[in-house]
Amino acid sequence: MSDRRLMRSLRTAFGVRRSPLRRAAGWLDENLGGGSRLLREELRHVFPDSWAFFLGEIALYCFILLVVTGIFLGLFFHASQAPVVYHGSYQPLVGVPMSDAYSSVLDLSFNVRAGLLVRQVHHWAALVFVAALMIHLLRMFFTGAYRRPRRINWVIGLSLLMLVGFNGLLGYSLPDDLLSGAGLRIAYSITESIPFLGPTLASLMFGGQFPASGIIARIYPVHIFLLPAGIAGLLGLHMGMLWLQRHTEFPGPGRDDRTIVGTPMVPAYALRTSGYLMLVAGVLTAFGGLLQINPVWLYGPYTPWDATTSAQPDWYMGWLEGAVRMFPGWDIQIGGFLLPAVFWPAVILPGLIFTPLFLWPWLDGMALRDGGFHNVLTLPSERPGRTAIGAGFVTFLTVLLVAGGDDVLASAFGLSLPVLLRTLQVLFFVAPPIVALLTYVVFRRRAQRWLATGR
Amino acid sequence: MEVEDGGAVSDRETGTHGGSPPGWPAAIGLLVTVVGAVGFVVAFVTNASTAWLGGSLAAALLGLGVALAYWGRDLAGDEVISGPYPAPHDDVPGAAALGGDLEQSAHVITRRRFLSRFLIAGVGVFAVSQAVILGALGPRPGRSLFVTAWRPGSRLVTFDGEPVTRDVLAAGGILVAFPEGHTDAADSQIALFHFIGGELKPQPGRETWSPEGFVAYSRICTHVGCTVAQYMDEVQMLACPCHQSTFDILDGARPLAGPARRPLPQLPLAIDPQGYLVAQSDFTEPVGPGFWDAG
Amino acid sequence: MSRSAVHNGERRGRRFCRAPGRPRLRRLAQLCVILVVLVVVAAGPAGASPQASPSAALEASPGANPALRGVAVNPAPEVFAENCSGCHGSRGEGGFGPPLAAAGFASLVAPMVEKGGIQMPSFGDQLSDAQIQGVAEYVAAHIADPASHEAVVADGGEIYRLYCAGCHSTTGRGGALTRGRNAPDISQYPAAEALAAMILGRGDMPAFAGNTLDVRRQTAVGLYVGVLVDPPSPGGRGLGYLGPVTEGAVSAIALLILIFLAVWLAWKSRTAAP
Repeated sequence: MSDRRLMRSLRTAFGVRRSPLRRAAGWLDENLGGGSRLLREELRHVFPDSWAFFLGEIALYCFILLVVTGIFLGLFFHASQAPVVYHGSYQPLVGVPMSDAYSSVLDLSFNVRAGLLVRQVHHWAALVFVAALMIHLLRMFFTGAYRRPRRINWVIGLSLLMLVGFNGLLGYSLPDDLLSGAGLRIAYSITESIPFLGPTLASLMFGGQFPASGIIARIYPVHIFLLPAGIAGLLGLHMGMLWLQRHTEFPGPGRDDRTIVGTPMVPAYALRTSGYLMLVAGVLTAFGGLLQINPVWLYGPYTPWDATTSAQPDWYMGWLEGAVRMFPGWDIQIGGFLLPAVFWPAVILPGLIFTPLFLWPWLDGMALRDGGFHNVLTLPSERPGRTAIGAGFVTFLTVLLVAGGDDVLASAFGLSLPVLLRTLQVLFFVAPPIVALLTYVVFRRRAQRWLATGR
Repeated sequence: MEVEDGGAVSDRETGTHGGSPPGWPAAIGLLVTVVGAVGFVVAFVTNASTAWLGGSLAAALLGLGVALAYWGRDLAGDEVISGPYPAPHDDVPGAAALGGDLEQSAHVITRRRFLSRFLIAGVGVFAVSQAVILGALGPRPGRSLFVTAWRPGSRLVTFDGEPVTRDVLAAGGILVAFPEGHTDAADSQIALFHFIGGELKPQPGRETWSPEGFVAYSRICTHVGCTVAQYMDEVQMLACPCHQSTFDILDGARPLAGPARRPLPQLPLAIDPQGYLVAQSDFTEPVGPGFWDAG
Repeated sequence: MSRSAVHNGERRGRRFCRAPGRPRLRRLAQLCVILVVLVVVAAGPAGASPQASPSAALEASPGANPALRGVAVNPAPEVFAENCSGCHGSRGEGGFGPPLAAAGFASLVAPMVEKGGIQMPSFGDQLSDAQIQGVAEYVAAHIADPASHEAVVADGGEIYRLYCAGCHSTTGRGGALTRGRNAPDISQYPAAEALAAMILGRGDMPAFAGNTLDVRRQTAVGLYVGVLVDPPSPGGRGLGYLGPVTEGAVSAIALLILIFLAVWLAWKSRTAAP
């Protein structure tokens, strides 16, 4: 260490006592009071290592990217359906009447430097955000990370998924283009289908009968403030609990429910995670710059008498779309009242999907008669029953998702649409139990082998 | 490994027994970052395409990401540490003690049984009462879902506002029409057809609704409200692009396939003495998707 | 409650050594990651569509290509009489082929003459580029109805979205209809093919000629379909123009890339042992 002693004496000689890092830390020490002691302890916060633990970070960094790009977009977007006549630079729409909102998105895309880039990064980030959340949720599920003491965090996470998905729906509806406007019409009709209160609720939510002239202005503060604030708040709770309870870890040498083994926060983990933030931002920026998404100028402005085929919502609503397509028109007449068929796939089914998801930690605890503290994860092969249920559930959602794009798939692969639809309706009932059974058999054998041989 | 007092961990080499990993991957990453960042500035200033803007910015971010990630993965050492998980609550007097303390501190409130129940009731009533503010968000639907802009004698016009006469629509074609003066009325849009060979099947009670083979239906799908825009000439069907509900134009637009259950409402037509197509009255049922009161 | 109960990762905790990794494999992996980054960056802007100003696709004025002027060719009326009048009539009134009243723009005619359509043969091999352009200008100026010249592409877009997009989609890529039927992808053919189908009707598609859409409006739709045949994609590669289905599938690729990067990032510590 002779060179360090040399540096120290040199510093003393030149009157520089401490490194910048030391000086900054010293300033914090003096001004934070007891808080700096907490910071000092957390320098050595332990993070278990696995690629699977980065999935939540993908979601977190997508959120940061969405907020940053969203701020830029918010500076240019006009949340108003006031009719204007377009006189911008996109020739095929010059002279066409449209809403101010749609016109502002065209201006942003064609006339603001980097406007289209930011718009596209924002949209790609939204798609990847929900995908990452779902994969993150599946990882939690298949490894048992939802068990006590993380049950509340599971509920918070699931709430985040719902808020994010809904915010995405509102977000892509803001440009008021033909594709998303048709989706708003469907949302209105679904709300209308609720018994007793449906028409009133729809009118209250939209501010009048469809096409309500204030719906974009109403969506705007919800999308840019209300839901992001809710998401940020829940996210803070989610990560706060993660911080206090520590992250779960995969089984391994030296690891048990009392001992956490991993990488220290500073410097290695902080470097890795900040590097990963840049990588997430970089990949999404590459997509946003090189791959066109949501070309609203081709869709045209929303008018209630236009329509387009190949009309789907963004992918994360595809399961709902598929359910609506597959469910037959079984309207129910109750005396002088009507319960429209769409109520079941669009209102009841989401409840049936999310309720067991929310209750899962408690259901799982009751089924396994295991309500204890767990910090070590269980591998999918160790719990063949849970893995099978999860696989069946994923299959169920996949069938719905595929049904949501059935006309595009039929047209792209030359299939007959009615045959495809009928096949999917059969698979809806048949595929999940078959997949669950197969998964159970496969993983049960692996579990038995593992129990017998330890490997 | 020397560790200085004060918390800083300096001068640590890796825990490997071999040599330390090279730094050049991080250096290359940072070089890419610099090139990308400069490229982004150039692309921005020269108003280059989205691809160049995005590609250069992505390069800058990816280069930085690779550098930091590599640093954290390879250069920062592979120190692995362990520590304790926070203990479960039964090891530490946590929640149980909280309950006791809370009960003790709140005794001033809980001691007065009647008053504290009144407090809960009062706060509850107040909170619930605020829900009425939601009523300000929009109008009650009233009769609006049962009424469109069509009136007895409303002339049919195209979306350009031109009145529709007998000869506007050749046989076998389709025309989108609105009530005169209401070409912006979304709920009033109709699809007009013209059949001259007697193919139209008579609908009971609606014999006068299709003069000279002209028939008009609402274009709002009775499933979830999309515009029924797909017209198939060979089979005389009108289908909805959203969920493929299909309606038989020759038979009162009754649904043949897909998730719609109710036929498209038919507009009663007439031809006035000047030869213009007019509506006899509004639709006799609500247009669009079903709802509770539509029963 | 003592803080030490939750104090973690103290310096007196164990530190674990690892056996050295395989340097060559590690370096190869690092090189791969950096190469991927460079390739994505370099190939991306080159592979994406050039920044087409959206209005460049709309060059509708006849005789736009100066390279074709002044070349000695058969006069366009002769070319028309020899090649076109057999199907379209001597004055473009129609016959076996559709009437040419709506062919008021050379940009609509020339690609059709060169490539042909579903029923119309292609003349790209028999006629020179100059001849094709010449006859296109001739048809546009002298054969087509003068009302056709007043067509505006934006009007065509409005009509397209009202009548056409329901079957052919806003991007013209077509789609599945009910009963196993399909609306074709109209971006595969020259825009004039769509004009012909519109005027005459074809299969399930009704005729829109006559009073439903007059000549000016028909031409406008033709111009708009011309935009859809080669749509401007300032945002990069258009992913097939099928909408959110493909976009969702591609976002899965982004997620896979990010998961791959996470695997790379955590690779070294995956077997970290005490």
